[in-house]
Amino acid sequence: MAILGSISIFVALVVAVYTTFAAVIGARKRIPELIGSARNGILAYTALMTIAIGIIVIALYTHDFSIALVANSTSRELQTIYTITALWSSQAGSLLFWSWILSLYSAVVVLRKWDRDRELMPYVIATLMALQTFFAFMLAFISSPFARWWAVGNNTVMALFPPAGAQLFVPADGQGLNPLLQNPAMAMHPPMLYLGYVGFTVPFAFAMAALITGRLGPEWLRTTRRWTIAPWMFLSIGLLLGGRWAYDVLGWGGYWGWDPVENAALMPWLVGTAFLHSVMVQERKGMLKVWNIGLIIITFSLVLFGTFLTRSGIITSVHSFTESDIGIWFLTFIAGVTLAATMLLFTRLKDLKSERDIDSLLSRESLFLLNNLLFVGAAFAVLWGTIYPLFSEMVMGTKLTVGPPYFNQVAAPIFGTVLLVMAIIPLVGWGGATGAKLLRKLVLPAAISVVFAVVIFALGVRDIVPLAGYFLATLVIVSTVSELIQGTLARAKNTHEFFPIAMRGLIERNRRRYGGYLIHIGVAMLAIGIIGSQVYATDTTRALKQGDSMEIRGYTLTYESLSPNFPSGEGQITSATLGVFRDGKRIATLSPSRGFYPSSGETATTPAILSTPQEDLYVIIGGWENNFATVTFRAYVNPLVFWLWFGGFFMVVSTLIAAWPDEREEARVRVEGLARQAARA
Amino acid sequence: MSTVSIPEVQTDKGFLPRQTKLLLGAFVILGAIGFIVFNSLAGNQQYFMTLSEMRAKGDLAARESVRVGGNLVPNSTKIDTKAVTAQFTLTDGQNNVLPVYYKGILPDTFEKSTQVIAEGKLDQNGVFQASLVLAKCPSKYDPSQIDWHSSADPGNLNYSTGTGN
Repeated sequence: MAILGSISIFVALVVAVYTTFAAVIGARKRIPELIGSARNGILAYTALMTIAIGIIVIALYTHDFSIALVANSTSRELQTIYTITALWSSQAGSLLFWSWILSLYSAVVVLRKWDRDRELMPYVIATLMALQTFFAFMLAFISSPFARWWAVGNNTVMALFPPAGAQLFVPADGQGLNPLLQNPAMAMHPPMLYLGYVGFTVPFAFAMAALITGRLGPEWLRTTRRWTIAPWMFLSIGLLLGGRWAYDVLGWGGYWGWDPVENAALMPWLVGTAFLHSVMVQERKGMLKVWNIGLIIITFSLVLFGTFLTRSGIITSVHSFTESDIGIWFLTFIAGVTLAATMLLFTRLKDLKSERDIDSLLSRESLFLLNNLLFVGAAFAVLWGTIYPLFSEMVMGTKLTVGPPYFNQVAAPIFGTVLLVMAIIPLVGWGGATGAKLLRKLVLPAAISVVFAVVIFALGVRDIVPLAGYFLATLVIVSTVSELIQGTLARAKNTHEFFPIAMRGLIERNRRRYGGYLIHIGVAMLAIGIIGSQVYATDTTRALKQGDSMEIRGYTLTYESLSPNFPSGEGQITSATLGVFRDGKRIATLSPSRGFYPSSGETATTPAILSTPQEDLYVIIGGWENNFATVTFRAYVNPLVFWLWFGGFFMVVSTLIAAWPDEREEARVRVEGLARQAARA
Repeated sequence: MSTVSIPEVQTDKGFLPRQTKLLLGAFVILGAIGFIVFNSLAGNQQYFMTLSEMRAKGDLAARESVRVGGNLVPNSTKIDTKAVTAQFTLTDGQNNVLPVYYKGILPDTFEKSTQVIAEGKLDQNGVFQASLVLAKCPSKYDPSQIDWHSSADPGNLNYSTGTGN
């Protein structure tokens, strides 16, 4: 089976090279058969990668330890679901997964958009398959998922082909999966992140095709509209799940540590967010053409950089689980792709003139421009902090690092301004608005938000940063909701519909606009959660005997019982039971636990969380005295974290609403496509 | 693009052309972000030292908070769960060793990790008083580090037989 798998990868490499050239030559010499063959090449590549990944999944499922990937990251005791998800915990497995997802996306592109974008398509195929050539090459020669262990004398060597005089070595059991990765959020986090990462390849390929063909009108944007919002949504889900995993598993009471690996996922999201907004300006007004192509190039480069950062461990990072020799290949690839794309952009600069100028400084388009500057600025600030250790070591000879304080200090003013822009943007139309009109519209939301801020002040929030943050987040919610209500009322007046039905009609008529507004509301809730938990978290640590209690912010925690070393999966779990009391009344029972995994000799802490919209009570077992005479507990109270997850969920659902296929719009695009074909005929 | 014309709104009565104002505005914003970045950087950067650098520049580590990275000396970890403190020793594989004292709960990956990063200051006694401890990726998950032959029977895995602390 492993042989078949590696053969599919070698054949896939050949297919990728062939398809790239077939597409380019077919388009240049105008040979439709060759272009058709390139299309089949994409489908063949998809089939081959599906075979390869299928074989790996079967090998994982059947504990085939003759394949190194299976032996290195699973074991017989591992729960079935995690034996499958172990695929993306290994480097070769995650590269294969990357390439496979891209092949699926590519197949969807050629099957669905074939008739719509005939001129762009050959170069879209060429770009996609040129990128795939790199991944197939890595999988075939540098980091093979089908490598095996070979016994050479007293050593074992991992390789695809047997070294001289070596014998196949099949371990009796595997090494097991890192216990920290045995968590539902962590099982789903990488696929979501990858669906997002890889998804941005499609708009990138269309942008390249637009540059090569000189068809720089709005077609490529219109075709890739959903290809931009879907990856953005997956990336959002991936980031949220990553945070949730950290919160549920790492046991330090937080969800975001500005770790390089986290930053690597955040940066493409930031620039992708900017891109998502600025394409609307180009579609509407024919402006920002160079900027948009520049943004998608940056987004895609950051995606590759993110994949590289996660997989190479170049920057010392707490959770860079895999380190290896793919670094130099990846760096060369990223540099090559970025350079080629940028050069291509420069050769087309003269064709990318704006069709008009910004009419007014106070208009939706200039606010979108402001949003873009803020998001790109934020991405730059994060990038700078992330690579600063490398930079300082290379330039100054001493390694300097920056931690969360730097990132928080930078993020607060930038994202505060983003909130302000979000608060006023629904009130400002395309083309422009007068300051007086805007002020009139802003009076009510501002008044409500001021009242809210005063209430919070009275409740004891005295620091300027959280006060300003809460005020801005409230302003976003109130002004957006009031815009939604006004639109609905206007519609209900005309159609005589019942209010909720009118609101639904309003959103369905312009999904992108109102879906976007709903996303903004989600973001504001998320911001409230972040501010509350970042600024006002507290924690206490106590060693308790059975029956003893500890206090934290009005909660009394009583340590009631312990169940030591209970076998479960690969490990042994020790869990404690704590009664939670408030004002003398028992309100909950919490069971934090700590697992010990003999195969790796590691421990994994699982917190117990009592979550309410007001605050989370979060308890972990920190350790114990040898005979369990005392157990050390650490308790955190994290205000408003609930709103981070709820806001995130709201954001994702709203993205679905915004991106949901709209029949009217589909029909319009179909008609335009037909008209273009008729014009050519 | 569509041919729908958007009504011109003239709000611009200043002496600078609109495009210049726009460009100026963009520069102001980027400048502000740049200022925030460099300002925050200046206040929050820390030296990342190896143990030999620590020996050479011990006075710096005594003055300000720094990060230090090293290998964990096996079996040097002493945890007092009651007082929630931990002590361990770092080495660079040569002659340099550094005792570290940490008040807090060590990360899960600590016990089996080889590389450790600590953040804090050096006290008068040469003990590094850590305020933060990071354990770097356990070598177990790095395939190049797997030693299948470490047990007596080459076909079996060598399970470590710890029972937690």
